[in-house]
Amino acid sequence: MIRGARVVLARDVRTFFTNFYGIGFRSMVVVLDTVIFAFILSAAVRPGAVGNVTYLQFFALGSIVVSIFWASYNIGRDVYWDRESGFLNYLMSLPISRTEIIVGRSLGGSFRAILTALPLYVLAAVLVPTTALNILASLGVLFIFALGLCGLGIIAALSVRDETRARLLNTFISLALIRSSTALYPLVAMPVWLQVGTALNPVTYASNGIRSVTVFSPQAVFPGFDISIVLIFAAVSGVLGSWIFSRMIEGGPAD
Amino acid sequence: MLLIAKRDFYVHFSSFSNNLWLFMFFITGAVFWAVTLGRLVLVPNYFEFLIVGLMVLGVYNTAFNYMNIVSTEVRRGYVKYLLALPVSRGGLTIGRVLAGASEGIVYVAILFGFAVAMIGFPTLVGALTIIGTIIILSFCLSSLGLAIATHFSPGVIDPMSDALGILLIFFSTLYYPISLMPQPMRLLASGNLLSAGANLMRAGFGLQEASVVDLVVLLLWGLVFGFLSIRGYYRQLKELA
Repeated sequence: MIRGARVVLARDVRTFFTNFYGIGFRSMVVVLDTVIFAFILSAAVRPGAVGNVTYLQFFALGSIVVSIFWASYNIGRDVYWDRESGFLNYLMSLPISRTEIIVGRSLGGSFRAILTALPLYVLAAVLVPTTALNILASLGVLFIFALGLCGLGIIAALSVRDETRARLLNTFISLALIRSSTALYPLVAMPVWLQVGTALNPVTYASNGIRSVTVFSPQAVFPGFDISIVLIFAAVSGVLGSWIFSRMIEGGPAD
Repeated sequence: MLLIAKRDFYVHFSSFSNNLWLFMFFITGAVFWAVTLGRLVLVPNYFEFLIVGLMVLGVYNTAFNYMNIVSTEVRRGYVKYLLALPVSRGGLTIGRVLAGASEGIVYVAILFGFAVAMIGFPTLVGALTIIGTIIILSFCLSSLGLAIATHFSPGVIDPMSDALGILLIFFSTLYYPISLMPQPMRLLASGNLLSAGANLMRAGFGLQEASVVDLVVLLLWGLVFGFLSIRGYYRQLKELA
């Protein structure tokens, strides 16, 4: 079981880094978003609107979640392309079980995401007070969140057959989830109707959890509720994604 | 010339997904992002400020990215067929620039309606200022895209345009007023065509004073990029000869 999943995982990570330019560019944009956009706006943010941190620190930690989102959610797009190009048939002909394929792809997507976010951690470590233990804990939370996003990406990619619709659905889900969360701005600044949507958004809990876990403070309280929601999200979307994927590769109606 | 412009225009708007993507980007930006940031920062009328910035970003996304179509044609060698048409190089270039510009204009017309609903109707002079700015800005950006697509090798085009895009967007007044920027950045922002376009459009909506400097900046860049795009097409001809 482990060997098969590891082979699929290794391939996903390798293919991800063949597009080094794309990854580098996206990371650079996220870094510049923090270094320029958040830096400039932090001078104009209402005092106390983002709690005990500055807007720059708030944004730097939120942008890690955004980066993780893009990298792991895209595994769904890869699965879609593999199905379109027929590569999935080759994968299925290998002496690897369906479960190994599914587990390998989800783990591969999560590893990709963590690797992409590492440079952003360097920036966050410069901007916020943190320790190695805080960063390790935060990487753990992000890994679980990324597993959930892989599941969500696979669900979205395999729910539609037409490429145009798949692209639109992916874009809509990504933009709506990121922009209606507390990843880039705090809850207190949102209008009430948006606050309701934000409370139902798993990206909000991942962002809140990451901020609590990454910033070192002697009076820090473990964000049990936020992490529980992230765990539930990962379990539900992971299981659902795996189920849809297994139905597809077993010749179900999604094929 | 009009035939080329018409062809490119129809091709662009036949891609439903691309247009809907751009529209969703703007709508989610306005509904979630601008609304929240407007309440977060102390800058007066920041919501309206950002809505106009997002409109300019819409022009950028359509008119500048027109370059991708041209660079694909150069890479595949399809440009040879266009150059073989009984159309002058100048006519071909202007046709293509017009197509890119009109795509930007049509797209922004939809955003303009949304912005009016959010900000309110501009005066007649204001409306004319906004329309004029959109036309010049679209022309500038589509000719810049065309100049890049025809001057550089396909491998360099993507990194080059991405780097240029970052510079243009981050060092402009699309997202933040010039008064908040550090001093060296202000100099770059005041010569930036996106800043000039955004400032003029904000002046059209009555959010700030109109400035002749912005108009001059926009016209100068239009001349430079227009010249470079025509030169690029002539270069293509020379290489094929």
